[in-house]
Amino acid sequence: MRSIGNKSIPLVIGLGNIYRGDDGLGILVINALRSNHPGIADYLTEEGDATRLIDLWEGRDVIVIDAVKTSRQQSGRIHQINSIEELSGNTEIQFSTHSIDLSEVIGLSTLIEKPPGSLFFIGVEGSVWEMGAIISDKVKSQIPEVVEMTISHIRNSQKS
Amino acid sequence: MKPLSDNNRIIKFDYIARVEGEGSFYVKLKDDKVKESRLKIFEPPRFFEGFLQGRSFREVPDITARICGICPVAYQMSSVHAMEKICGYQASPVIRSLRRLLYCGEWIESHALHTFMLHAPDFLGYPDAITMAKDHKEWVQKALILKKTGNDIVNILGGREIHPINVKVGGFYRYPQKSDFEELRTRLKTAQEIAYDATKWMSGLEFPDFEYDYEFVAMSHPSEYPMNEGRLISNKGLDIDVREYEKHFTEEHMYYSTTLHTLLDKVRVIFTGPLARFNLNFEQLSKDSKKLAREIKLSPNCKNPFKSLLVRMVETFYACGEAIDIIDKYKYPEKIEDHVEPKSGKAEAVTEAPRGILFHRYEIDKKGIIKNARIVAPTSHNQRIIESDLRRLVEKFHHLNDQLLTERCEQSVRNYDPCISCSTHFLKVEIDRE
Repeated sequence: MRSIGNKSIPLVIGLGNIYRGDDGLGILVINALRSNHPGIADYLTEEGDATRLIDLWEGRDVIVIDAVKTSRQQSGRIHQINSIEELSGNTEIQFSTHSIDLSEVIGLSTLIEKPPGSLFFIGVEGSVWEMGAIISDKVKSQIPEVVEMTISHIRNSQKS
Repeated sequence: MKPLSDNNRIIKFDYIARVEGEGSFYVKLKDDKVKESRLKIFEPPRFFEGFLQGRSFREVPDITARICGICPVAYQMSSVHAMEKICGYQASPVIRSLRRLLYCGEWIESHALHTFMLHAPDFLGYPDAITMAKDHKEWVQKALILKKTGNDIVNILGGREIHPINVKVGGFYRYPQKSDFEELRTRLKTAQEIAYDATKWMSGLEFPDFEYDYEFVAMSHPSEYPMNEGRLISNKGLDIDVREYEKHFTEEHMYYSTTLHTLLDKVRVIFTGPLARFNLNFEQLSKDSKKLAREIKLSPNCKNPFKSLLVRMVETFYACGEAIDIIDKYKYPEKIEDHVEPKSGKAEAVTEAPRGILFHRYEIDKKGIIKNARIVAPTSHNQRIIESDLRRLVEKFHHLNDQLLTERCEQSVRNYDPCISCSTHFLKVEIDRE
């Protein structure tokens, strides 16, 4: 079974598909975090069905990173959501192209009483989604910023 | 939505949730007759097939697994079978059974996700799974248990739940010990009970009165319900070896979309997936699965695509039982020949992905370097029939108001569990009644 061990540290999840253009953002950010910041969080990638995460994030401080779409179509723009409540009320962001999106999976987790302890979401607007395409420059250039936001959030959480 | 005139209606579906991927459907009604319909799936150029060129034949299972987050096993299985055919390698019985077990895992997980979370809300009148879960919390919890059992099979055999990394051309990198399956077997028994109860529950739902004389296409094997091997057959006379696939199946480019519609013998529209498998292979189901189907009055001559929901549940029940049988018979292979040397050549393979037949064809050189590749996903096979169904559906249910008709069309698209992200993103649907 896939298990993520240390519940005293945050769980950072990158959603997406490395072979599908900007959708690979979440995976690339996790790769960077694993290389440069090992040990401060558990890192996980999920490439298809987010319902698989329900048993893994129950009660944990969770950070989710994903490529997103909005009606504004501003490729490379970073979005931040600070709580489950804020995520549930979101109407602007289309979270992912996967069968059940993140907000639905969070909703399901809550209904069956297995929600994350807390949620921090970082999304980067993408524009290239074709299978086999590479990540766009605008989205790729935001990877260091997303890594920094993630680390800052973890450190601030540890202080509080 | 545009306002209605006396004779004409325009309905727009801007977005269909609960399908994998993106695309759109447009239909124009005049005098309650469909004048124009276009299913657009924004399939990109076939980057992925080009991406495979120049790669080693051994990399193919890992690369193709990433085409779809929901059915990576299907992509791995079609690819390894094609490569092994080229190289003249015959998998041993133990490898063959473990591959079947892996496929059982994918069917269970994919069908559980689709039936409970994506399709059942349509039949129960809920906009989404969360709303449904408020009234049917117990079923959602059971669905997650069922789905997790499928995930667990893939995890044990594939090395992880998604994009299994343990599959190789020739077999597996690591073979599980018999003891690895002990807990899983218990969970499979529970999952099988859930699948049984859920099938009974879903059989009580209301299914739209909608039948058509489809040409069902599925694989067929003389002694087992098809997953990895068999001939391609239909209820209208097709019976071919998969080597003949490209002689019979062609892809037609539609002017309104970058996608390709698959046709049989240039004109025949086909229907693949669970309902086709069930209708064409009913006798190969287990005794208990056939009994369950009969109990819910699901006959192997079912022509109502909405009842795919029930067939998926029967297949889920079957896959749980099949997985238990495989585990019970499994013996750890102390010595196994699973190294494959490359040979130049070309070969085709078809396997039964949860949502329908998945075709792969590769040509490699003597060093095992891929010269070219071709992949036809289940959703490409079903695209034309999805469009045809929508057209017929809109005419049959034209009396419904725009919202209800829109919902009925979305429900119809989901009959096919289209995995559009195999090629693209969100699905937008637009219906115009002038």
